[in-house]
Amino acid sequence: MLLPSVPVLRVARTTLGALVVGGAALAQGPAFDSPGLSKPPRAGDGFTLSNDFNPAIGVVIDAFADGIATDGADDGFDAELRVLELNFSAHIDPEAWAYVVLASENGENPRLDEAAVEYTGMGGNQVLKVGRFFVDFGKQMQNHLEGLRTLERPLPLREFLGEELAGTGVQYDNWFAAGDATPVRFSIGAFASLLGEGHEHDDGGTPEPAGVVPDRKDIDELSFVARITAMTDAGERGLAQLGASVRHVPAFDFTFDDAGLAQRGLSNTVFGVDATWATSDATGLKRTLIGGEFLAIDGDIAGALDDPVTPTAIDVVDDSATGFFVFGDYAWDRYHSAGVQYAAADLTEDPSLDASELDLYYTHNLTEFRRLRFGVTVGEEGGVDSTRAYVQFTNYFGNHFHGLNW
Amino acid sequence: MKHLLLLAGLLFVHTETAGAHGADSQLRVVATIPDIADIVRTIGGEHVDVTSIAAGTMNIHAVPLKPSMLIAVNRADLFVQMGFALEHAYVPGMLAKARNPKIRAGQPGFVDCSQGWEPFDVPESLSRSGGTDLHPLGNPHFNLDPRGGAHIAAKVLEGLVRVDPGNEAEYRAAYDAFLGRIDTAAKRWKELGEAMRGKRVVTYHSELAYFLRYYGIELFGTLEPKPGVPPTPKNLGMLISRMTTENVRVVLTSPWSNNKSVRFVQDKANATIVEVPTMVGGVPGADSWIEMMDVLHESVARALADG
Ligand SMILES: [Zn+2]
Repeated sequence: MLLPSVPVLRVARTTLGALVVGGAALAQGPAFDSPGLSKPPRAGDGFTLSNDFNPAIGVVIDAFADGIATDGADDGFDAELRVLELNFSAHIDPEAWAYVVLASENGENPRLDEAAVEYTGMGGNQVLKVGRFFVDFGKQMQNHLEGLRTLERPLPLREFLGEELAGTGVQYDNWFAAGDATPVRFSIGAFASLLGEGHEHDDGGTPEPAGVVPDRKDIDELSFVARITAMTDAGERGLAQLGASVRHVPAFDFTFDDAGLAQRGLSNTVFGVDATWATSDATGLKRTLIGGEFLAIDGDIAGALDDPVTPTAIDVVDDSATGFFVFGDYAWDRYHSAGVQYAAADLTEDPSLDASELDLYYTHNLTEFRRLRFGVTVGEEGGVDSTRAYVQFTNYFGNHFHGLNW
Repeated sequence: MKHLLLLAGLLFVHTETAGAHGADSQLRVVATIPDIADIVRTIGGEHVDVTSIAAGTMNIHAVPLKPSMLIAVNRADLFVQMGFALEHAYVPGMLAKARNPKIRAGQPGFVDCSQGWEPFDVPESLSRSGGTDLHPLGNPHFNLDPRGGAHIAAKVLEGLVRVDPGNEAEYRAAYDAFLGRIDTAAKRWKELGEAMRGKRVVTYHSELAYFLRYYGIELFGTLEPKPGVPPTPKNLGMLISRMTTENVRVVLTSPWSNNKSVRFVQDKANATIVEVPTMVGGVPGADSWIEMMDVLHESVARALADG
């Protein structure tokens, strides 16, 4: 999960980010976002602000080069195509808006990251979202990788929820005002499957059991995610936000088909609380952002084969684990910012072991649509230290919209 | 799961009742910039309760939003924006999220002040090969044209009358009085303006383009190579050498752009830096639209007289 501990050669991963199909992206605009969410531009290089065509289309390129050293040994440099994203969005009627995000990682065949319809016809501030989409958990999980403040998703999120957490199902979202300065938002979603993807530790290619959810299930076997968050004015130009999230998977199996092994009837739950504080100077350009999330996972949190060569059983870890990350980020104008993030988490495979990551990064927005980031990640996992330095380049083309929410 | 559904149900009930109270008689108006807010206050008087999203010292293209703004927009009877994509970075998203059907574009409660204003500097193409262009529909800073206040006032009057026809007579009287005050002020401004004709200035962003054109002042150059593109060493070098060769000494900056690039030009081109208001409240004494324009005229006139 952390940094590969075997020598790897990588210099530049290129994330061809998002082709946004969403003609109405500009009419719709981005969701009202809050500090700590990425704020992707809505119209990138090569496109006008016109929303005459429908659907709108966009592309994002996110590329990086990195070098890694593990416990003092130089593992070398590499370049990779991380993600190519293709993104479409459109109003399908005045009360319904749809978007699709296709992503290709490392040049592989594109996969469907998100395909969802947001329906607002129920009045008030209600939104019903149906389809496949990144779940509303904390402030980082809705983002695609290129939208994060850091190169990778924060450690405890990767460890407990996965690199990305898309669910197929339905989500109800609403907000109300508590007084004049405190909007409170909540959402609850039920999903056919909510097992994270991309949770990987480098363990030399050891075969692992796969987590799967039964095809047909009772209603109480549906996974769900719920979130409640409130933000309020803090001082003349500041904002404070608190949130709490939960993801529950009530029924899943670990299977290893090669040996016909399975452990059935498993479940686990992840809880999270998050806090964010942001402020700016009188010009609105110098911005300070401080935040963090604390996470806990409980239940059947991992599975492993008893023997990698001739497995006879899947051992399930029935335990709990915790993790957190905190960060501070300062932008001294529209184009330059720097930040630091510290994350630590128990490993789900063995909660008596833990891992940590310290990220230092400097972001230079060349334009509204083009970003260069230099960063260093110092990691430790199960007693093995590693250092990774990287340069990341991200460019948005065309109209861009993801269904982010505060 | 059952408990969560119950919680969602309770929250839903709360939401449905939240909007029921607070039915005071004042119209709730949200303006994107303080210039519009001032004019709404002037015309609406005691009938309006006005909130401005941006503060006068900010870069209007990059306004940080506060949670209270979402609620203000959600409850607003009237929403007034400048238009020409000036607010494109935050208004569409906020309107979508605030879910107030009264102030959606095209509804009676939505006012776009750019309607009927002839913009200039409309880009011929938007290839964006040189980066972003924050003025894709032409220069949106017409609040700084000496005629801008009257234009905004006319749009505000239309909006107020649409959503509150009962007080039309009062709104019209206040509007007429405002135009009278602008006429009086315009005589002062004209006198200062005549002395500025034909002079040359440099600005950071092209916020003052309407103002300069109105008085025949030449915009010699901008520190930004394009609206929204930060100054590059190459662009600054060329600008400084042109300023030195042609003896242009006055650089006008707004409060948000008074940064190290400005001071670099000050040092290298031996220039005079003048911070001028680009929105109401941007500098001390610029507390209303007319006062802001007074400060702007006086500051520019003084700098050009010295320069
Ligand atoms: Zn501008």
